[in-house]
Amino acid sequence: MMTRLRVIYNGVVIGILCALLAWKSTWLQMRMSLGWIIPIVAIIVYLCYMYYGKKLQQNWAIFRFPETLGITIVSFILLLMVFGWQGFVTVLGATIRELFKAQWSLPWTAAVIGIILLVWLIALFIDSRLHPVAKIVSGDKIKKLTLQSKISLVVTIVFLVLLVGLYYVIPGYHDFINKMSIMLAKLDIKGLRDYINSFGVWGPLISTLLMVFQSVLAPLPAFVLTFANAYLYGWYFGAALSWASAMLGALLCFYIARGIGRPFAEKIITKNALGKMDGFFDEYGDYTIIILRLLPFISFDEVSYGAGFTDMKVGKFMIATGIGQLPATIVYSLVGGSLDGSKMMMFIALIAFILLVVISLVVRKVMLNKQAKRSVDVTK
Amino acid sequence: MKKNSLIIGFIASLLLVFGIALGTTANVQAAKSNSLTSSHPVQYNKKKKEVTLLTTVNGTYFTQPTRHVIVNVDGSNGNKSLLKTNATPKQIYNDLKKVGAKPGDNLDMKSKAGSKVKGSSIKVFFVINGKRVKAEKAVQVNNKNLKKLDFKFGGNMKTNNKAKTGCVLCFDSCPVGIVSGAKYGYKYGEHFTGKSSVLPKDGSNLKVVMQVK
Repeated sequence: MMTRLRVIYNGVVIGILCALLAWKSTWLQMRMSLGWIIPIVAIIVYLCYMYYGKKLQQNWAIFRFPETLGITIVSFILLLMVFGWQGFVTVLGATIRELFKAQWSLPWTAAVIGIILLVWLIALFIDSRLHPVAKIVSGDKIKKLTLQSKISLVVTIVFLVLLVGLYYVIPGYHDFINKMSIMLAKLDIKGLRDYINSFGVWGPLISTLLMVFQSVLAPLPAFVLTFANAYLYGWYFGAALSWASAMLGALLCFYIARGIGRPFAEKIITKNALGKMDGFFDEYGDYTIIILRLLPFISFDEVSYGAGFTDMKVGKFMIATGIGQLPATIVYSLVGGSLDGSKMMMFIALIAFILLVVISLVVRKVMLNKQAKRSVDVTK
Repeated sequence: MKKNSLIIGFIASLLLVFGIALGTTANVQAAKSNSLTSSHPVQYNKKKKEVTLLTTVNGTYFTQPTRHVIVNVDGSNGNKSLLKTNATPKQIYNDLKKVGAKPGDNLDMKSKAGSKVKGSSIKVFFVINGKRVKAEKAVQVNNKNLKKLDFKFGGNMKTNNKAKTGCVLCFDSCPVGIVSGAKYGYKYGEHFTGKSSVLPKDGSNLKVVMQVK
């Protein structure tokens, strides 16, 4: 019972997040009562729980209390950032009262929803204290061919086929990909900036899509986009946008590899090679990812794919990626932000850039030394 | 046992919150501004060549953009406008004709983007604190003030009957709204927000006067 309440709560919160963000699209909000998004999303989340949580025993789909709290806080902060307090209250109230075709006061409607969610969350918290939900132990399933991995394989292949197939079917998509590939490959920062800017409010979304796209297509360089973002939105917001979208891209690569799965990959890349990679990640795992991310001119996307084939946990991968790409993102953003003038910024950026290269080289050397020492130890 | 009492407590607190909510929010509606009421929301004055209607302010569009100024509550766009009214588009159409306005009827759904609405010119006023304020003063586009929206009696009764959107007054040239602004052409894509500093607060009644020039 409480598990169901918890899942529905998450569905409602995610639904509210989607419904409220949909207000940003005037086209959409003029055409439908956005409140309907809430029950629809709640049902989808519940179905995910029934299938992924109950049947496939996946941790994310049972929404344990810490995740529930995390989702609530992140949604709330995101909405406040998008709408501001006044706008948030208005839009939340409007979404709900429109659903009931009522003429309730906007702040009161928002307050009631807020209180209901808060009471609900407190009840879930008390329940999580009384009956803690243990994490489902996934064991070593990654190396076996289970029903879940078969499904993932099919879903991933369908996704990849669509991704490639649509290129030949939809002309707009075809042109978009071609244009982007040329811009990224030619390092055309100004062209890219103007292109993203032409989308107006939707610019950040397009930029995110581009970042994800360049992650999946490994050879394209990401730093051009980071430059363009900083150029457009200032170094601070540009860095935040680049960082977040690069995380998303890395996650997608990771999951594509995960989706293809170990058993299938073993057939193609051979067991031995994968075993070696496992050893490498086991020994230097988190550090490897951090270091590789620090090095500016290494395409990180292969590493994301590689990590997906090992039994590394998603959380660990994301933390390492997040920390690892932080310095480079900031430095590139500083450089990107200073393209418009400001000599002081240019100076700081240059220093930071040199520092970044030096530090990453030093760290790499230290790591190599460590590795050499260990191999000496083994021979003893 | 503990689990049950927890659930009962949870449901009870939900009910309590709902109770408070209903108690405090059910005090709106019941309108009376002069002789206009929510059941008789429109009047016309042949001498002054005016149609007056009663509306309710929707504060959602103080912060969110829309292109609908006045819409009938039962129409499919009933919740998408700055002002809601119980008056039907047909009533307004007939009353405007009675006071001598001539419909333009020059737009339909297939009209070219950018086409402008025609018909008798209409001045639109909002009656705020007993004073008439030009509609243009109460709205803004991208936080910028407007000078003239150039409202015209587009007519459009046929498309209006078909579309069932309930549209009475639109901000830009529209093939459905009874009256719409000729400043912006059809499908121009511009939207406005109401000024909370000028308009009464969300849920208040507001009289709107349409004067035929």
